[in-house]
Amino acid sequence: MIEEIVISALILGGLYALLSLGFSLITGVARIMNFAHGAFYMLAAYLIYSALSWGQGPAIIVSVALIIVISLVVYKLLVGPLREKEAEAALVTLALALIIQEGVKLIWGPDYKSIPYVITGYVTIMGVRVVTQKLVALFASIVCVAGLFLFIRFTKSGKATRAVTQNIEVARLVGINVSTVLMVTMAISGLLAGLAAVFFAPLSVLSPTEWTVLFQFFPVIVLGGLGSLKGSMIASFLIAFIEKTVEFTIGGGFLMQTVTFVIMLVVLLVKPTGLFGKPVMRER
Amino acid sequence: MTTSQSVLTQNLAEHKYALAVSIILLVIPVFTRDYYILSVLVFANIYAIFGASWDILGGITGIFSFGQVLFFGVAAYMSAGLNLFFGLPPIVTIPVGGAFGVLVGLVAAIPSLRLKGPYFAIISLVFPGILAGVIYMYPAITGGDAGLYGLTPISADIIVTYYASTILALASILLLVRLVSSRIGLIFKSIRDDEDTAEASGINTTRYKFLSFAISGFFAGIAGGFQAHQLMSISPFVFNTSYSFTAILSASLGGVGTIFGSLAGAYLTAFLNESLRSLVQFRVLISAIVMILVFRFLPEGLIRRITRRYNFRFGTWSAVKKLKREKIDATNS
Repeated sequence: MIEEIVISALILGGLYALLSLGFSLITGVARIMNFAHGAFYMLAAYLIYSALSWGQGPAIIVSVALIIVISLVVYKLLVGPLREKEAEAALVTLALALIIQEGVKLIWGPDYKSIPYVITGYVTIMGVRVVTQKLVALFASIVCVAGLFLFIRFTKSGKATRAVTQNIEVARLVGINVSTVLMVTMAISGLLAGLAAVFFAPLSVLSPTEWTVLFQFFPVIVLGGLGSLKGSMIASFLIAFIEKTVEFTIGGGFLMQTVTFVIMLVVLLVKPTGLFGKPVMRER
Repeated sequence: MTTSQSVLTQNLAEHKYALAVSIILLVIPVFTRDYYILSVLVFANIYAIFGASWDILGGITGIFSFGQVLFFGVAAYMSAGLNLFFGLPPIVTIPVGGAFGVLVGLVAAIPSLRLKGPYFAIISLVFPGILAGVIYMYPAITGGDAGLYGLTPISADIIVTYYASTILALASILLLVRLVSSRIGLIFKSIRDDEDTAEASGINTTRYKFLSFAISGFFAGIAGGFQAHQLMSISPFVFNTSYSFTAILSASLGGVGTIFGSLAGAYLTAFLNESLRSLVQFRVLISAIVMILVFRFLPEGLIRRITRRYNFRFGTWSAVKKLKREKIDATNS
């Protein structure tokens, strides 16, 4: 049982890490809550489903590219101009999530869909049978996270991103093109949502309300600290481990959500900045 | 447009609209006694109270809540329960529902004290879902997925119901408008504009935030109870996020922070909902699109934009006032 908990928690944590990193990145850099992030993940999965007739590889590439374009367009047209008003921006992205939900319902229908594994077959680890896809997904998630960290830590654009995160005005003063940085960040955020769909969507069934995975990883974001990448990383696996422990020992899908929501509430009341968060959202 | 004088002239103009709108609403049944039309208007009145309740918190005090259904839904369930299990009439259950709205509002205010903007948005988005979960967990009392039905209607006669809802909506909104233009309203707005400065000038912001939540919860609760009795049933669907959008849409179409705008916005929302009756699958889609358009391109609200355009083109009610307004605008700009 412990092996099962550990393995399934690692995989769930991988999904949370990938999604919450994309969410935290744009929150930290642009100070925007993109409530449509979960919807982008869902939309990417549906796009892959639709494009499957072109073969899996092209379908994946086209869908991820489309999601990046969509997230850029959304940023340019809707969210960017409202950047100074965070509540309105959040409301607009939430409305967008609902639009995507309804759009998916109209185009693909309300019934369940599924997309195929990138790699089929299974392996046995510590006596637990694990579908290879899950390992691939976990591996992909680790690679993406590591890639993002390397990008932010060691490249010049990454440095600019960090500067904008710390202080937009000063970043502008030292000659950083803030709007480009924000666009790049949004593109990366979209890319992460798309990749999450490629690797993790095959592991579950798709329905038009799949975007509410957003609510599921709220505790991760809060525990990690809004806008903190390291925090979301650690919190992803922590929350996934807690969820899976509750699921396997006590049982019940709803209870598992309640437990993490209670954790979120306690964190918010005791230490609203989370484990590693700086109070980014207040500094303006 | 932020000096007190220009706000005053604006208010004067809006009071005239208020009077005109009230009279129109009160004489509607003289012209039509059609059940369908009147019941749509009843819902518009409910949305108006609901929208205004959101506006007092979001538009006036500056605490954006994404979960206004929390107050609405709890009050609706309380009214339904009191009516079904204790046989109390709507005239008792609706105010009691409002009182429960106040209670929930006060509880919801606690996290808002520590949490700024986006954090509170997250909490307010998640809370109604948790409550819906609780309702699914106790189907014996709450009726679970199917909900509760068989409530006493407001009145068997739609005209009586219409008048009850209209008077309730007008009274609520006029009360809120008065409140907003009072000292309390000024303090709410000062919290919205700059909380730190408000606190520095000796205002106990905590107490006023609690007050704002209580007021918001009360009116949302009344709206919830009224709707439960009007529909004669209640289901966990009231805790859906898209239902919160009804309130936000009503308030934002009329102009966020105007209170009175909610009435106009609610009539537009109800009209929108009804005209899409045959296209139910587009309803949420279109209201979400409308909301994005309003927040992105018409931050002052559709109605306010139109009324202002009207003033601009045809002049105000007297030439003197127009001159005064131009002078104020000139000094402002």
